[in-house]
Amino acid sequence: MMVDRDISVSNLIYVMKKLLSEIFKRDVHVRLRPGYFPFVEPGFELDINCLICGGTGCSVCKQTGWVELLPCGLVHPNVLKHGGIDPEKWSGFAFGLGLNRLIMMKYGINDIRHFLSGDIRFVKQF
Amino acid sequence: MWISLKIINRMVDISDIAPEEVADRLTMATAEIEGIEYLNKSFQTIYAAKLTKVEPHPDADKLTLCEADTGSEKFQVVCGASNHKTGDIVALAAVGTKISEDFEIKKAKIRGVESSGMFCSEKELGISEDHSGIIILPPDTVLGTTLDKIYPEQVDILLEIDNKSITHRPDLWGHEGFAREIGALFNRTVKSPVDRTVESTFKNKDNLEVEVKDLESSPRYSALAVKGIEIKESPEWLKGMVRSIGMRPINNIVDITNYVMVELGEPMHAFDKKKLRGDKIFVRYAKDGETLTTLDDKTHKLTSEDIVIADIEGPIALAGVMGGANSEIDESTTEIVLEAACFNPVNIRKTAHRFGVRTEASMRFEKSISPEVTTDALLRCYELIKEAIPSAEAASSIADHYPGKMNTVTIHTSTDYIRRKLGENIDDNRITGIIESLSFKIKKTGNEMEIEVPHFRATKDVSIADDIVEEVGRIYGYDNITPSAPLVPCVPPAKNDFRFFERRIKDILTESFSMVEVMGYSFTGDQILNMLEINEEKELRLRNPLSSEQDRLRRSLIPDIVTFIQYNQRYSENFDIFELGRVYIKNDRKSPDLIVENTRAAGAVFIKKPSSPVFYEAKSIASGLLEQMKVKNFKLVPVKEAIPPYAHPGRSMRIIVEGEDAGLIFELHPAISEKFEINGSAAIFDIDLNKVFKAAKREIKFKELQKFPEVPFEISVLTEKNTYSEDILSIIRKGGRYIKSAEVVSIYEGAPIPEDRKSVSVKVVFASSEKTLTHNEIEETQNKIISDLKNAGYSLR
Repeated sequence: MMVDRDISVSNLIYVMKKLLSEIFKRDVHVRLRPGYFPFVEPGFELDINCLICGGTGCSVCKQTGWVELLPCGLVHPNVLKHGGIDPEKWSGFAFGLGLNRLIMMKYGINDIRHFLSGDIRFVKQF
Repeated sequence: MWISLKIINRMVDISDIAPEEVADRLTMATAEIEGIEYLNKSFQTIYAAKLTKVEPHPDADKLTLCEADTGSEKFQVVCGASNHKTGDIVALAAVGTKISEDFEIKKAKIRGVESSGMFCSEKELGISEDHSGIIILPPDTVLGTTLDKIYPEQVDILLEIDNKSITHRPDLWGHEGFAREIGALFNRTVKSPVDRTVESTFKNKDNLEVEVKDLESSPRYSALAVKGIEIKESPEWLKGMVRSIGMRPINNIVDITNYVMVELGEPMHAFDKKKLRGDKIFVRYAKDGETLTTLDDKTHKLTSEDIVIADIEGPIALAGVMGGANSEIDESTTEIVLEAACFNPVNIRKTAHRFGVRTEASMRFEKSISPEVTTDALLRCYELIKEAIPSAEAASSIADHYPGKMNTVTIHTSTDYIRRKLGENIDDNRITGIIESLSFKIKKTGNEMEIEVPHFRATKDVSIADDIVEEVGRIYGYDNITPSAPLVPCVPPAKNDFRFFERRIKDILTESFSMVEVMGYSFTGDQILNMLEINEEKELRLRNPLSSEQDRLRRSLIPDIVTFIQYNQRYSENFDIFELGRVYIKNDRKSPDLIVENTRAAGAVFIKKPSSPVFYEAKSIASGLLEQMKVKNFKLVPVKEAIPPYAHPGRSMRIIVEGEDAGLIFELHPAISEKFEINGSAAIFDIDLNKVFKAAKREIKFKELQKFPEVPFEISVLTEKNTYSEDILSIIRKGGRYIKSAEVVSIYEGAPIPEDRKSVSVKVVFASSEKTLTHNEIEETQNKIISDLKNAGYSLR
């Protein structure tokens, strides 16, 4: 979460794009779609261009070229208010980046259950 | 949910826009479209063709050789049917037509004669079950007309909506809502399908009697009686529509009420008026213990949380969920009561959930539908009934119980606020244009706006300025916003010492000790706890667990570690694993509601060969780790009692840090190994990292090197076989201030040592940081060690 004066959707897009480019060590494309989460307004689903196929369509992205990666949005004024911050003066963005999802994307792991399986044949690959 | 573009096109003309583009814009601005389905796309290449020649096939009795004329071209086709003759107009599927996923029409030689196409039967095209012969079209059919024009009710393009993406938008649970969105996105006029002038044709002005007893249960209830009803199959156009939206045609009235529901988003119901007892309809909460048999023949015992529609004698419908069997329409129905209402969404959700009947109606009512649409829905229904059953006639005026009219929601904001929140310089006209295109009304003074929210968005969805920010952003297109870095001063974040400490432990265990890090769930269950003989009652129980075997929060990492040993022994001969994770302890004493979280590191050494020295290995990893972490004042002490049931009583040691219990090293109890079918030797360490963290030295200060000579001294002690070396070392360390270190160099069993004994050789180093030790001082210390050991009952070699 980032809170300051005049934090905007434009800032959110910039930070997400930069963050993901640094993690994947290459240029990534992101897009925001409307999504509903009660603690943000507006709320988004952030898609990233599929890094498995490069956006041309594959089974991971269900032929769409995009993969849903994380929910985000501008912090709902009520959330700021309950945190003792005046929403008239401050605004912020929030995002929830699942590390599992990122790692799966990075290494092409197809089943999230591997992470907590305790199977050393899986862990030893990294 | 399915959205039919045919229904949409009647409200907003988008026939010139590719369905893919519509789907894409909706996904980016409104709701996620999961797919596009073309119903009978094949009809576009099936043509009306006249048979100009029908002759027997030269080489087959049952086949005919035909020539078919589409008006522009003639095709030779071999046909197996027998109901056609020269001059008939048939449906010719051209070469390349895909009748179904795995059936494509190809040019073929049938018994030596070339055939270019196929004449289709109704069954082959899915129009009906009729397979008695090929389709013979009316003689006045224009040649070359494609089948999608001849059977328009069979053709449609459907968008599949992800229901999860519209849970906050009650207006999008009907086609009209999507039509409005599409209108705003493509800048087109949207026409409501409702014709309100229909009401002026009602001849009977009698009121239908409706009494809403509990206002909270139903803010609005509207009903209309219709007579002259004939229940029969729906006309083709209606059946086609009902199929398009994924429903099964039942009869004209049910189909019409279903259709209006998906068109306007307002669920409808029709009662058989003659089955009602008395003339009055009541809306109320059920009485505890009242029963109702619903249309699916299930009898429900109702509570005062359920809303019912009732006549004078009792319930006739479970409001907003399902109709009652006692008022169901059937073939003999001639008079009906149409209902359109707005019910309390919380009650509907609870009732549907409790009875396990989530219907199309309840799914919509629970989203907070606008009460403003009920009478429109009745009029739309009536209009369609008149179209399907010309003899139908309104038998009452519309009864409308709507005492507390919905409040108008007004939002004050400014174009500046919207620009600031989006971080994009959108001009005022564009902003107001977008807001108005979504049916909001604006009063603008300078930058300030007073915005009136349309009723269908005002029940829950749009209430604050930030909701308007979203409306503008999504229609403007988030993709059109230029990303910009936030301009803020930066300061380095506070260092999280504990996080660094955890990472260092992971590094040491993986790098210095070549262990593999594993991770388990924070949950555990009775079965494994019982197998380990852990008292399950001490573990916190989850109220809503993922599965019955994961219904408790773990208070130890050991169950996970043991399961992982059991699992991995199948694939690996020897392995060392560890987990660093949190456990959750019920805080019984102070506040029972608070959970204490404790971070621990647990590791295991496994060697397939039985009786391997795994305990010593686990011990050396644990002590090596504590040494590398520079933990002050730690020691490993043998324990014989008060050890957990899964630990081997002769091979267990407690880790003491600053005088406090900070963990355990143990070999797995053979009985537990057997229960888990662990075939090999396994030892485990389990360390309380919160305690170790406090004792670990993180700031290092240089100390002067040892200037004065060190004097080594070796001593061998004879002991019982089950004596711990640590016991001996602790006696030796008490020998005075010149003892710098003492460590075991070897343990020997066998001749000439007696069978029940072992010899432990210890290397002791004497030194002082202030001076060179004198012969006397060395001898005194040596003698003190020897006498201490003898006094403790040990003999020396």
